[in-house]
Amino acid sequence: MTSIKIDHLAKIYGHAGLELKIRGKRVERARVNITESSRLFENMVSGKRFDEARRLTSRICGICAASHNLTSIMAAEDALGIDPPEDVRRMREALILGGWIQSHALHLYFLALPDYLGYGGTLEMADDRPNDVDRAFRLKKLGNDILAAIGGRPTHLITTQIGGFTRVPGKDAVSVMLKSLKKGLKDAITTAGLFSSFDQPEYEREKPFGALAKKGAYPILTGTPVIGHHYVDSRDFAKKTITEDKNYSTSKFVSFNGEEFMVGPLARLNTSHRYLSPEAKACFRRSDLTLPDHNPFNANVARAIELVHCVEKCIEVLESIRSRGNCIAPDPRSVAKALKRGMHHGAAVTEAPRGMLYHEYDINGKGFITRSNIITPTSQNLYPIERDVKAFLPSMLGKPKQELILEIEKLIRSYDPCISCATHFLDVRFV
Amino acid sequence: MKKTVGIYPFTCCEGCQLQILDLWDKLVEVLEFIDIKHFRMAQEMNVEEKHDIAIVEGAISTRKEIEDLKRIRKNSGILVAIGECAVTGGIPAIRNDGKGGKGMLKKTTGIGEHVKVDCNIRGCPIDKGEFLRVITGLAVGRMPYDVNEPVCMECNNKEIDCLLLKGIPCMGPVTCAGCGALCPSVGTGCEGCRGMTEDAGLKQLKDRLEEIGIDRKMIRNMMERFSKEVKHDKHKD
Repeated sequence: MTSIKIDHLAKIYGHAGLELKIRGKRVERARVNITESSRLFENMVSGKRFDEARRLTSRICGICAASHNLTSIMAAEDALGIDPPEDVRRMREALILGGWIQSHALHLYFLALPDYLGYGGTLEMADDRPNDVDRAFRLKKLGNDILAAIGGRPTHLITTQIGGFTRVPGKDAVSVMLKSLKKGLKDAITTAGLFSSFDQPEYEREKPFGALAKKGAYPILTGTPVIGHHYVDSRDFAKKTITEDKNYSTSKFVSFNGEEFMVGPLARLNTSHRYLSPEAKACFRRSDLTLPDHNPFNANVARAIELVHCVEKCIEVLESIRSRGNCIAPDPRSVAKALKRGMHHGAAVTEAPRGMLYHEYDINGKGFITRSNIITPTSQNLYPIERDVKAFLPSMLGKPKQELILEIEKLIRSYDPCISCATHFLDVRFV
Repeated sequence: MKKTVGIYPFTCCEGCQLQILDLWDKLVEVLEFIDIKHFRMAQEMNVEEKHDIAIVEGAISTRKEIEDLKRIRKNSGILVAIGECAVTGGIPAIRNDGKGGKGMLKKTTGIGEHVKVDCNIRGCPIDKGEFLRVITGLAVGRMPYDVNEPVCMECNNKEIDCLLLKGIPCMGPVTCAGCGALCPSVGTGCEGCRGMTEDAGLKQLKDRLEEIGIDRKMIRNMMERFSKEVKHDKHKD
């Protein structure tokens, strides 16, 4: 019996380890040990007013802070019956696309690329591959600049409100964004070409996909959650999925009808590739991907294709905003005053860079949250990660230990797990 | 000789580390003076050894974290707390109201509860420009000083209209400056993410907030968002 234990996986967000037990050619155990301490966000949010949750839950994760922030706002709006104008929705979409651009660029260039090229980190590549490193910074900055121009700053947004924004970018700021997006499109296309050129391990394991579906659009902020072939009402998301605790993990594991499902770029590409932007579609055609694709390593190719989509889509959305003045939010005090008596219940599911993100709130007649529930993409991906590790491992047996560990790490990293997100939750019970 | 640096996260969102990563094109110049030995988010090879400077992000919420932190302290020359989680316990400390999860300490706190901290970089998240200034200073042996002026000073300097006068709740009068009044500059009230000033006039602020019609419960939430664990001596009216 061989045991392999990695205490800390590098180049993922947060602390997680891996424990493998191998007997002969059989893998007896593959566990993702999540050791990061939980932060009890659902407890924290209860007792806070409806407009405080957006800033608190943003702190669940530094990378997809914008996704938590907007999902929280949309869930509160659902509860309070607020339907913001179309322009607000478009501005939010442009904002979240900026968030996706920076998150995808970060993952692809800083976490994944060094693996493919045989470096320990992006910084080590600076001398040998200056073009890649420069492009990495340009794309990361492009996403950050959009978040800052619309959201006030790149991490933990400050302009977003229930019903709209406190401030919107002026005409000049919008044209600066459009100019840098048009310039950035070339970088994104180069990225998609680069990641399509890498050989991925031959490995496949079929499992249901979970992603939002929206008629005629690649899902970003809105849509109906679809898991496998089942449509799920946004408000029922928590009821229909099962969350389980594991004694070796401070994160929950999520399943649907007793089955695992995969969320994130590869799931979205499989289900909504028809609605990719023209350049992203061209990149997809040039890649080797044939759908349905069940090779998790290809998530990086899907992520790079999405990067192209995000840049192109962001241009389209920004140009479609009719009046920026429409985006100014109402005073939260007037919202609080207009509240009806009794309990308000609301939820929202959005696509975050790593997959579906769910926020749910119960709000009382005075505007204070009495209960909340948050389900993050990484906790939905934990079953697929563990099972893929278990299924992929036998093909690696017999290789030197270092190489084996690196390949397994690559597999886990292809899911882009965010442990900060996964450990946000309420309570840890040991089974 | 280059100064060696290690970056260590505890209970947090890792947003402050992300600010450091975002700096990287500028860090290249600083890397002339420093050598990053431990930065798990960004590199495969990480060595925990004796560092000249240890940078710690995040609050402390488990016994294991205390042990790790103490070891890091012992192994480092200068220990820098980055971000409000590490400085005061920040957002994760709000949970101290209720029960903790299993395996968690009774209270989540800043790292200063457990070890000596040499300097703080405040904010949620930290300002990356400030981080660059501090780290460059430390590399040549210069310690930063603590700011104890309120955000209002910065609003004045930037000629931003007072939000409280407009009826928008704002923690500016009791919060340490240094952010350049970022939130008020976009019309959002300060949420106090750099912690309270030493002689914060809490009573006056609470009165003002009540005057503009803010619910008492909401006022308490505002006061405690980033200062949960400092309230006992500071929240006396």
